[in-house]
Amino acid sequence: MRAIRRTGAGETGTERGESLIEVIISMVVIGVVASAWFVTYSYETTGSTLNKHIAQSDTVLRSYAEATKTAVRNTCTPTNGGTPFTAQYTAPSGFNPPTTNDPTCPSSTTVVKKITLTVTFDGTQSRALQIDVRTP
Amino acid sequence: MRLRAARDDERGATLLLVIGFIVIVALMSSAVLGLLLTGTKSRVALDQARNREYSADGAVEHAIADVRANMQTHPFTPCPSAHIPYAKGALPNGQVDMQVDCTYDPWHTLSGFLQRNVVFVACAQQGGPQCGPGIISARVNFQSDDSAVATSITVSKTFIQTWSVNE
Repeated sequence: MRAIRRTGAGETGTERGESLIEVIISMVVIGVVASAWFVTYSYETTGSTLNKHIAQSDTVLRSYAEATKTAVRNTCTPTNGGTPFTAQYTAPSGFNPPTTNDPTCPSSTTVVKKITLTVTFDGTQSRALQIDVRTP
Repeated sequence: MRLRAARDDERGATLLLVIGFIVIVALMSSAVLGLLLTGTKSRVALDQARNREYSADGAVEHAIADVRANMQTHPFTPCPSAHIPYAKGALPNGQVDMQVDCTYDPWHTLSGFLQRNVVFVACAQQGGPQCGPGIISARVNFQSDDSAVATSITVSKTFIQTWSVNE
C-alpha cells in the first residue's frame, strides 16, 4: 500500500512542473541561438557595408586615375619636368580625398613615371592603385 | 498506464522543436555568411582584373615613350621590335609580364602631309606570338614638323587617336 502510494505520489511528483522546465530550457536555448544569429547578422551587415565601400573605392581609384592622367596631359610639356599637376576630382561622401605620392610632371618625354594613388575610407581602410603617366 | 504512455510520448517534443529552430537558424546564417564570402572573393578577382588592366595601360605608355625615343633616329622603322616585352617589375601593380605589339602604320593626308601613326596592342606575354585582341589597343600619332624623308626627326608631341580596353 505504501509502495503503491509512493509510486502514485512519485508519478505525479516527478512530472509536476516538467513542462515549465522544458519551456524555460527551450527559451534559454532559443535566446542563445537568437543572440548568436543576431551577432552573425550584425557581422554580415558590417561586412556587407565594407564590401560596398571597397567596391566604391575601386570606382574612386579608377576615376582618380583618369583625372590624374588628364591632369598630366594638360599640364606637362617637354620642357616643364617636375612641375606640379593637380587632378580635378571630388571624392564621394565617406571617402577622404585621394592622394598621389608624387604629383609632378615626368622629367622628360621619354620617361614614364610610376605613381601611386591611395584612397582611404571608413577611418582605417585604404586601397591603392599604381598607374604610369607620360608627358604627351 | 495509458495516461503515462501518452505523457511519455510528448516528452521531449519541445526539445525537437528547439533543435529544428537551431537547424533553421544555422542554415540561414551559413547562407548569409556564404553570400558575404562570395562577395569578398568576387571583389578580389575584380581588383586583380583592374590591376592587370592598369599594368597593360602602363605597358602601352612605356611602348609609346620607347617608340618616341626610337623614332627620332629611325623615323621609318620606329618600333624597336614587333613584340616589345616589359617585365612586371617595371609596370604598375606588378601583376604580370606584358608584351606590346607594335605596328608602324603611316599614311598621308590629302595635302600630302605624313602622319606618323603607330598601333599598339598590349597583352600578357605570349612567348612569341601576336597578342590577338589584347587587353588594350591604341593608335597613337607622333607629331613632327620634319620632312617625310628626313632620316632624323624631332617628335614634338604625341596624340592618342584611339584607346580601347578590350577585356
